Amino acid sequence: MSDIGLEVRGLRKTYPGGVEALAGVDLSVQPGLYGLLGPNGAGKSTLMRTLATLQQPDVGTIALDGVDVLADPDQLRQRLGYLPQQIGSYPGVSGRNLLDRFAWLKGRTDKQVRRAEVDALLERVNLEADGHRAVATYSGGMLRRFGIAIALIGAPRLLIVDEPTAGLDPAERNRFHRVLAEIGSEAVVLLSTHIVEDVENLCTRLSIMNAGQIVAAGTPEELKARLAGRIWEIEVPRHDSVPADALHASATPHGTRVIVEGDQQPGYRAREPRLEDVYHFALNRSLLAAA
Amino acid sequence: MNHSVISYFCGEAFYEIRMGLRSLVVPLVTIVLSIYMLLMFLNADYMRSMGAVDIQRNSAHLTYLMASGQSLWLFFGWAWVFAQIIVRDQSAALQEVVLAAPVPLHLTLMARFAGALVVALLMGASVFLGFLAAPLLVMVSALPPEAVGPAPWTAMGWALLLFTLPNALGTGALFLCAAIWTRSTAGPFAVAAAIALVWMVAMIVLRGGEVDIAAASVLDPSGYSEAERQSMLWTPIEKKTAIIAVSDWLFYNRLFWVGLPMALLGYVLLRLRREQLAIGGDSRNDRDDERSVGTHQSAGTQLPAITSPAWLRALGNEAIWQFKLIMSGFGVRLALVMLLISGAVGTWVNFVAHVDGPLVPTPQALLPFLTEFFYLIVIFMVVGFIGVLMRRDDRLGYDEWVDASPAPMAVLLIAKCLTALALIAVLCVIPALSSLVVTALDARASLDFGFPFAYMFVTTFPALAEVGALSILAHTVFRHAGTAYVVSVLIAFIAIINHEIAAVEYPPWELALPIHAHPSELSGWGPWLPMVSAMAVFKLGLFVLAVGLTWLCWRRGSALTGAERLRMAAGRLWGPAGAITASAVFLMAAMTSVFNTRLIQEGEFESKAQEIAGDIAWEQVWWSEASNFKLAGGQVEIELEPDLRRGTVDWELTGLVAQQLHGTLPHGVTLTKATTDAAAPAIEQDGDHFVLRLDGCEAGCALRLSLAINTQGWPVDNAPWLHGSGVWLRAKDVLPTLGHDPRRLVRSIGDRKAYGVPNARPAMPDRTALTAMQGVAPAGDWHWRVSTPGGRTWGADGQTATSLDFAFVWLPQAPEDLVQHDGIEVLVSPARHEQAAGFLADVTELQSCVSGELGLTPAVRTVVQAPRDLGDLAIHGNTLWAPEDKAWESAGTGLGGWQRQFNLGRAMARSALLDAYDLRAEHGAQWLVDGVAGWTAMRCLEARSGFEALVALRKLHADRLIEIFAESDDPITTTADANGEWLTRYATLALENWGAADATRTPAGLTVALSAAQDLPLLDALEHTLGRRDASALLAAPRAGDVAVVSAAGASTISAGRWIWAVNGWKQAAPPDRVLLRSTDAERQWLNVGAPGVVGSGLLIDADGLFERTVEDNRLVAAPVGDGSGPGGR
Repeated sequence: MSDIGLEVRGLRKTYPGGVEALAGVDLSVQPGLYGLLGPNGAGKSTLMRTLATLQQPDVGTIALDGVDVLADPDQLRQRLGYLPQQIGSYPGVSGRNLLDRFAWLKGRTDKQVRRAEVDALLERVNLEADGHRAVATYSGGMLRRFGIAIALIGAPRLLIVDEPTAGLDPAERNRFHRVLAEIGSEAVVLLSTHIVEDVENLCTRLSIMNAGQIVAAGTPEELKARLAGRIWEIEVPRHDSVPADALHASATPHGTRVIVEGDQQPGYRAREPRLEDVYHFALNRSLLAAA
Repeated sequence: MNHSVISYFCGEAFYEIRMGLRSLVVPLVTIVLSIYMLLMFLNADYMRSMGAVDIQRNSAHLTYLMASGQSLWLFFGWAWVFAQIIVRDQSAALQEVVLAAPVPLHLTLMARFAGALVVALLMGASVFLGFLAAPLLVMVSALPPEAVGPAPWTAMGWALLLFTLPNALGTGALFLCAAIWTRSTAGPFAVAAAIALVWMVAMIVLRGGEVDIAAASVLDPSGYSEAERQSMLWTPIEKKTAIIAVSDWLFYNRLFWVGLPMALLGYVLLRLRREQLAIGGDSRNDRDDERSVGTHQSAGTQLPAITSPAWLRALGNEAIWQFKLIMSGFGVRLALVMLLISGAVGTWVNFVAHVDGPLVPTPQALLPFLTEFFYLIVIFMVVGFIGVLMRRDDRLGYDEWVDASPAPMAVLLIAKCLTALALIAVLCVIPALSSLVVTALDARASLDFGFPFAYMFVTTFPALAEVGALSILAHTVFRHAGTAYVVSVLIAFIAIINHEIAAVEYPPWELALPIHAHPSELSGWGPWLPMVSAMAVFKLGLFVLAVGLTWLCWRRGSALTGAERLRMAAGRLWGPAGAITASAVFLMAAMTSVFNTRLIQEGEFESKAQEIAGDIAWEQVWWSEASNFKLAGGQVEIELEPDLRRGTVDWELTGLVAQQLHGTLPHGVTLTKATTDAAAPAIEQDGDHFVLRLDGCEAGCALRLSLAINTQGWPVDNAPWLHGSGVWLRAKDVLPTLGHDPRRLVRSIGDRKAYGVPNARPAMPDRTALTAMQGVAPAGDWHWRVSTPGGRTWGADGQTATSLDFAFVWLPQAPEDLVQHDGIEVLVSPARHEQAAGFLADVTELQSCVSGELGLTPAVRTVVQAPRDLGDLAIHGNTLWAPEDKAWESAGTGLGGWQRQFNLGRAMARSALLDAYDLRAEHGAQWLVDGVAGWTAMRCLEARSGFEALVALRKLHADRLIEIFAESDDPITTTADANGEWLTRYATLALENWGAADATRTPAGLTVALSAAQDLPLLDALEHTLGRRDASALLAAPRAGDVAVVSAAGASTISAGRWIWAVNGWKQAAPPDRVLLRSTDAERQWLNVGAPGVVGSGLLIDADGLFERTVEDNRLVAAPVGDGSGPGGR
């Protein structure tokens, strides 16, 4: 177990009703951007909330830079930045005021320093001109930026971002990626998403999660290399059926592009493995293993 | 409407019903309200206050009162139900899907409104569930079988139609409108608070202040005011079966509260567009700001890492932030200003412009009123504010941010608690400011800038803090905001009900009720301070306990199961949360022990049930032992140590002829020793009753009683009389009352049955075994002296040849200016100096009048402004005892001034009568004293202030008397053996009517005749004095008359009816043939009943020794009209 970064071992969580959200998660995350991919219901949000000390695992350990998080959650909270999956509006308060409030809740209690940090964060997320406006009047994109400002208070060592780019337009998304990349140079950034492209562009390492377990982990290149020469594609006309062994399929103007894994088959073209293929391959394999 | 529309309407309505019933709110309200109803049935005092002890507790009249009264609380539950019509879709983010449906929007909303109405009715019907479940109380032997009658189906159905349904319909329409406008539950809850405010104005200002009963009945959103007005006039028999009438006032009320809201809802639905609901309540500006794209530059500021946060500073920041955020709302500030204005206006109306006024708006008088005036709205505001405070971060993402922040739980929790306390403090400041405004405008001499704030913060702040803390706990325990709000409102509701009906009597258990303290102008806070401080500590202890429990239950994180929360709570037990909880429990337990000592052991607290049980036990043990005694007089020596609240009494009784001497000790006084010339008789004591078996006193002896005074206990009902800040002593405070007092016998049939004693009270012993009607011992040659260390005294010694009664006052420092007037010395606070002149003018004028009317002269040498809650206006010895709350609130003019004159005249006449006749508490004595004194006072009132004053007081007494007859728990028997308020008023009015018939019937004539028959037993003497016919009429069961002038076609005729009280109700009697026209110049003229075209001007009186029910329709003012055959002959 490394003393640098985030180490998760044997994390399990079962909800009342028997839903096993985490089924023994092991994770080792070094400073930099780390992606967590998985379909809906894979357990990503449960893992994120558990890492953010918002819920307790049934068993397992979590350590940040060697410090046991479950034993001393306040230690982590002081070094944590968290961007929830959804951010609503907050009536009656300006952005600057609310940011100021979360700054003292984060422990930034010196007034002058706090003000400087609030100014800096508003500038960093490009809300300096809108800080005086009520948060309730912010658009979706502004709310996400405001959320990242809150998450960045106190220069966190661990930044957890849950589905951060959902609902953002391409420009906002790109800019958000740049902010994350900046932070990733200094801290451990855990990026949970099901948008494979985000992880592919940003993360140096990633894990793929399904049914509460990590089914694949490594750098994008390592994971893609494992499938080198084994990915094939074919375009199936619109009314023809999709082959049963398809890894995944996507719509094209004239039909369906089908991707398969395995040995070369007649009619199929070779395809450079992409992270998307790795993702589907890992999910399929885990499903087969479970079956 | 075609089939598909009907089908859609029904489907949507049923869906609304299903969803409404599925929530926790409905079963919670239903169960709690039903159980609460059963608890009410069990509470004898509450039932007594509603006039339902001697009738079945599930009687018809209670159905109307409960169905309308409980609406006040249901409004808040209904606000939630009707808000769901709009809010439910938003919560599930389905509003756009629903709004896109190809169905008319108003049809959807009306269908949902119909469904919500059914849910609201089911909630309202929980009141009736309580009535239906009442027989269960008999099954479990909690109530005797006769206490519960058959289910009042008719009354319940009528109450449902008349109150529950219209209330739900009308307020539901308002709640839906508010939900549409605000697209949140905040709007409906704000409307519910506004409705509560209207109720408060109607019930407290308009009805309580008797400003305009009709307006109160129309304006009251619950209909309770009218239900109470009607049912208060019903006799016990009528209460069981009567159907409440749709009076004009009730009709207009229903029209106002149902018609207008439904019209408003119709208008709102007609104008409603889908986009108004599609736009979420929070995101009024949804547009993206394009400037953000592509202009970003990373900030290069390097800030130090957070290493050692100053959490105390964070706590302060957080508390101030939360407080400022709530106070910054325009609505909140407007509400506070409106409260301030309504407080000042309400106070002005209830004091300066009071129908009984004008009253003097001193801070001591205003603050208790303002506390009551504001209590309802303030308690709901506390609950509302706490809800907003606790749910502020319940928004997507923000709750997780707060939970994931490193701020310790203590910072988050204590900041919220501090904010709650600050908000409560603001709400306490409002009544204080209102009182200052009114006092500054109308009673500048009484202006005291410190008292109003001290009063509110000492008595009310701790009580509201209890509610606040319990609300905080509710919002912590219940994750679902609706449930938490309902539980909080329920807490407030229980507090309000207890406030209204005093269901809980033991002061420390009076959850959320302001501490009872009535500091007076002369005595100040001193006598109250220890009790008030302890109560405040206890209440704040509960606050701390709730905070500790909140800390234990605090939810930090999401998706926590109940078991996880319990584990977390258990884990926190060994930390600060557990320490705080344990400390609070320890503190409250310690205070409970202190209360037990100071209130129960040393104090005079007794629950009503304990008091009744004690009186029953006393009757069973001691009544049959009543023993005759006579006295020649004696000497009383009292030594007081006010600072220590102790003293000793040496009472020598001379010429005592008795075999045994019974007496009742006042609270805080113990009989330590008794000696006669020959022996030291043993003292047998049972509670406050003692008996001395005397040997050798059959022919007369001297008895010396040694008594010790120790008044360390705390006050409950009365102000303390012995304290270092002043002594306000009456003979009965330090001396035992000798003899048996029949007024202690329990009269209520219900109570007698409950304790297994026969319905009929035991027979009276010989009159010489009974207590004196006045003071502590019968007439004799009495001397007394009171010693105190230093200070200034009034009435320190004296003597009398009448019954033993005196008053004594000591102040450590004499007031700077003392008022003297016609040889009468007056002790009043400096603020009352101006008022004192008018008061003394009344005293001397009435003294002279009473002397002339009665032929007996009341002796008044000193007038004392006694503290509040320390007895009635009365003469003790030669001191006129004038408590602040009974004698000094009137400014001396208007109806209030007339009442003061009447009360002064009656007190003097009583004193003169009691001095003249050595009356014991025998049959007829109370009637004689109350009736003749009241009659004399009425005559003196007319002499001093004129005919209109007399008519006004007749009306006032008659109105109150009707209410007393309706609500009396004691059986109404004959005036000869009755006591209590009804006798006082009835005897006054009956004698006044009887005296009106003949100018020779005067109080003086009666006393002269009575003196001549003084050797006879009192009832015989009265029969001899009044004549057999009149005596049997005046001393029998009460009789009522109703004379009215009926005008039709320009002619006036007189109608008249009579009733006599017979077993719980009025029974019609033969009407009179003629009535008396009493004109303003005291001319008398008899007029025939029913004769057309009566002529004259004045007041019509059925002058036959009964009371007139409705004085207002007795005036004959018509000009001569008709055939001139009206006047009958004498």
